[in-house]
Amino acid sequence: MSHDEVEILYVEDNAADIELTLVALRRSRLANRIHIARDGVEALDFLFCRGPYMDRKFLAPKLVLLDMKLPRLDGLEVLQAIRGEERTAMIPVVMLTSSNEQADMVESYKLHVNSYIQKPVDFDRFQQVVQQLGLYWLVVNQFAPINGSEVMQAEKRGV
Amino acid sequence: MNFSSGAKKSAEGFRLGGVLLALCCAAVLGYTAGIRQPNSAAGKPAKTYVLNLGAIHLNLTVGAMGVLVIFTLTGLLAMAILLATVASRRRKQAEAANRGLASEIGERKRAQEEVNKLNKDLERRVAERTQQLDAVNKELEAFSYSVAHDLRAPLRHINGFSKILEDDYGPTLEAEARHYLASIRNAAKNMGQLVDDLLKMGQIGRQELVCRPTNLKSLVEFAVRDLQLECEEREIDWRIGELPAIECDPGLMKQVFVNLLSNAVKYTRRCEKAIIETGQVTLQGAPTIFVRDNGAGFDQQYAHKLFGVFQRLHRAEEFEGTGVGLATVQRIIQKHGGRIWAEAEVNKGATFFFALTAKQGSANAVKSTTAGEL
Repeated sequence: MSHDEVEILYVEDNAADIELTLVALRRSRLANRIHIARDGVEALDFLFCRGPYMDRKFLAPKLVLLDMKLPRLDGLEVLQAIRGEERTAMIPVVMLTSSNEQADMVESYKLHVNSYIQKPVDFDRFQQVVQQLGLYWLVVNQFAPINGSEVMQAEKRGV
Repeated sequence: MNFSSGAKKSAEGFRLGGVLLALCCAAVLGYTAGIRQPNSAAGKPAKTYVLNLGAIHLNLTVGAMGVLVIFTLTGLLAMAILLATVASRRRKQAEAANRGLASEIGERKRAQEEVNKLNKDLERRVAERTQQLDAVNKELEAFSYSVAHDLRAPLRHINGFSKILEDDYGPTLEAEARHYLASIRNAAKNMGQLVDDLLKMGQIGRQELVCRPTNLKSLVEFAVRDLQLECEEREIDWRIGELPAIECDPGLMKQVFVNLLSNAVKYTRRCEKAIIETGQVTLQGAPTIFVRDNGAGFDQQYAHKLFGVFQRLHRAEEFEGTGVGLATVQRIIQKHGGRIWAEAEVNKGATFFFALTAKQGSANAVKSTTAGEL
């Protein structure tokens, strides 16, 4: 898989969580084009094609799955950075987190998160949630033309 | 002391006046005697007598006037002394009073300063305690945040990997092994529920009430609609009576009804025909809201344990639960300044009453106990 074709950018530091989520996505046949970033900095490097990803051609993923508690830059900081940049501002971002802490939820929505989901403890329900998420954002949802004309214009302006 | 020294002074004044008077009288008498003696020796008594009479008369007049003047002077002197004495006494009294006043003012000032100092001390201590409490609160918040994130995660992993094991390798496992796997999953799930319930209760404890006029009837209807979706296969006779519109936090009050009504659903599980009723009654003149069911009930003897965190009156195999639901309900009712209690009989159902002003309630009702703090 080339980095350009990524459909889902999944930002998660916990190995067990990654494994379980991948199983759930695979069982829903949605795990083909997924890139995993292990912290907030890596996620932004990937998205903005910098650091280790400087050779990547910018192409917005269809969905960013974001954990809240991350090393270096946390979920909210990553979300803020994504919303703060024109070419990434319209990418659908879903918070997929352990907590249903109200403050986190409110802050996420203030930063225009598209959805906030608490990972259920029960794996059956978790699998349902992942499947619904994948189907909705990758299949049902219509995207803003991020990778089309607007981005080209943005690039011309030197963004 | 001042008075007696003044009296002494005035007595001395009178004595001095008396001595002066006696001296004057003696002088006048001596003078008249001196005039009469040479005349009688010259042998011309009649003329001398007449003359002497005139002299005596003159002398007497002058003497009397002298005496009068002396008396007056003495009186004036005595009066002056008396006045001076009185004045001095008054002055001394005033001075003493002033000194007393000054010392009293000083005393008061000192007392005021002491009060100010104590107040400042108190303010400082209150500020210190507030700071400590804030720190503890922040710590608690950090703790519950950490619990929410970090304690739930391993439970998800335990549950998840057991499930994958069961799904992918179940067919190759013996029945006993599958049973153990199912037990592991259940345990993780239950603990997840417990963590969620506890966090929710902690959140309610910290949450500020946002009160507004709320129609309890529509609140109950919403709660019942949600519950009906979860127990479609059950036959439940829902009886929603008249309920008032009151000033309360609608989100939290909905939680009260959801918890009480889902308890009613749970504990009527073995009934052929469950009846769950809610409405308003007047107990001791106060409007009281009730939720009643015809389910398993409980032994009234243990009613005081009903609202404690983790306290359960039924075994987990009979009726599942974490023992947090009613503690949460009580916390919400208490936050609204009300109280909650319950009446029940084993296998004859339970009724939960709550009144949102503290004075209401029935006399023979069981007083709810304070739930432990999270």
